[in-house]
Amino acid sequence: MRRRKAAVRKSTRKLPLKKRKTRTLRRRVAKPSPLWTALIRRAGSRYALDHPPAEGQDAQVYVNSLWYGCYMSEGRRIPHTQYAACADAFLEGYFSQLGRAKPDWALVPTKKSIAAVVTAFNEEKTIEAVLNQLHRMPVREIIVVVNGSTDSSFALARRSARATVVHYPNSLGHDVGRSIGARLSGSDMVLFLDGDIPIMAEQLAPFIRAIDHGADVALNDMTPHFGPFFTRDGVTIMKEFLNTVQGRPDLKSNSMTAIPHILSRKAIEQIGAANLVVPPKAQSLALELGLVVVAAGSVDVIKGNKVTRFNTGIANPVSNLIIGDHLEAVHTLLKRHASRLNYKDVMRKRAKLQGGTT
Amino acid sequence: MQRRKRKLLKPRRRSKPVARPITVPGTPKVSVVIPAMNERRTIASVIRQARRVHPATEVIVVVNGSTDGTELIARRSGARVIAYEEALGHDVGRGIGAKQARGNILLFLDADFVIPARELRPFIYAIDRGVDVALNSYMGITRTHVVHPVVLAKHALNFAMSRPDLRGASMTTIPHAMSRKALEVIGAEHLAVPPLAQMIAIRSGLDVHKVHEVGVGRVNPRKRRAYKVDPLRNLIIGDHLEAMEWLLNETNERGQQTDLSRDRSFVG
Repeated sequence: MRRRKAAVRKSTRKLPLKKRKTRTLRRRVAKPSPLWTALIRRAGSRYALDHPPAEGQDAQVYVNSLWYGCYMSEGRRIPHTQYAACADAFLEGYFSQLGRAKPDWALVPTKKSIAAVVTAFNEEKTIEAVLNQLHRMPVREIIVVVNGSTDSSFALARRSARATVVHYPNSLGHDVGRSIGARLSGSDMVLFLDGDIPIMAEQLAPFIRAIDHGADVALNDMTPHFGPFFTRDGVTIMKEFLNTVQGRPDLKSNSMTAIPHILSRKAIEQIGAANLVVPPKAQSLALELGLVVVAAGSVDVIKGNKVTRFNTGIANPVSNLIIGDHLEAVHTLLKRHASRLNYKDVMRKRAKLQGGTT
Repeated sequence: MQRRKRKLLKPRRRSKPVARPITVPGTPKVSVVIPAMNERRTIASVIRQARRVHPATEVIVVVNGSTDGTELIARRSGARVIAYEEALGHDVGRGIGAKQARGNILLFLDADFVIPARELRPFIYAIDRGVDVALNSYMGITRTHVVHPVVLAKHALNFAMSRPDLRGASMTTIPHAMSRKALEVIGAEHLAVPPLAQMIAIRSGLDVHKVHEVGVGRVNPRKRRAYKVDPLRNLIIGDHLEAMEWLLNETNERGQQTDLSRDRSFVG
């Protein structure tokens, strides 16, 4: 009887931890307040009267600049959770005043120019959705780096009127496309996305707002999507360790490895586009250089991630790659500083151990 | 009132003093290494339990920086005592004790945790069965969303070494045991920095396993609570960085982890 009990226990322990349902903390989505939306809609109509769209001008960019003016003056107190509804109300007010149909745009809380870098590796199923979301925003540059794709990803990306498509017949490997895209871009902020996870344009507003307010690196806050510590994988733990040893435990396991994230032009120049190939290293350098790194918004990219034989299991190649990236970041840090960084060993009398064996 | 008085008059029960040091015929099989610094409250009990782990056991107590009579108690309890007047610092005593050890199995304890012998024997058995380094499975409080940075560092080290099965098991945690072969491979001087010793052990291909869980977080919580900020926190995090640096110097800048198909020539 006892033996049987032991056997049962053993079998339950062998279950992979990931499959267990864990409680995740999700933020409640607040209902848009009718007061705010009504106010902003009225403001939209007023702006339409005062500033009708001029000919030969990109209407999307123009309306966005009007919205930014409205957001900065009247809309300063709009709660972040109601931003999307208010931006939509502004569009509605503006275009109903003009007597036109409201276009499906997502206005962003910035006047700075935005570039989006999308890396794609056999993503024909999702690339269109990703680009469609980008088209909804006043993004100045869309750079799609298609590499090693054997499907129609390239053709689909080319269909987009606004995207600049860079094509490499061979696979570039992880995150190399980001670096290439960052180098090609010239905007004030660069948004990094993957071709396999479409993200609603509205969800990107917090990231853009953070950069507009002076941050240099706006990371995706993944914390709400993780279970308790013992269920986490090596990659997550390495990310948190790296942030902690750099004196930023508040960043938890938020990392430039995860998309979406936005870098300011200053950040790209100081970190160097070449270093973006190894995202944890780039993040370490950003913290080293005193850039402002924040976890701005929270988008669940775990669910949407494509499951392949490379990124599943306890010790899979992709997780080993990312752990290696973190070790490379630690290496860079140790090279820039003394060994042990700021964690000096002042207590030990190690000399007592030298000389005389066993 | 009456009761309280009687209680005060009652002589306090003390551990039985052992007059003579225990002489082990021939070479002992197990050496228990206990660094101690001002631990007179617990040292006698720790030694008493340590002596019970195996019939042929020697207990080596490395007393350092003690002013409270720890040395005398340790001698009376029948341990081999190596005494230093000055404090050696965390874990240095382990290396010194290990150098003096004669047994084929080395068990490492701390003088401030009393762990019953029955909880220590699994470590001895594991080494006897052929494991080179037997670790405590205890890894701190991990059922929370935010963990102590030391727990985090221990996990990170094992993942950096591609040993996800070890989770947070570490040579920083007592009790742990190792074979003489492991001691020779690691080198006694490296035992002063336990994460480094663990890194060397894994990298050298030694059999490192977590074998048994002893909840050392709960054994002596009162002492822990005395500090608001754990004074050893930064030391232990530094130890883990030192271990990682050793790995990076031994291998390459990525700790020999894969770069998959990444072609860095495109971004030069």
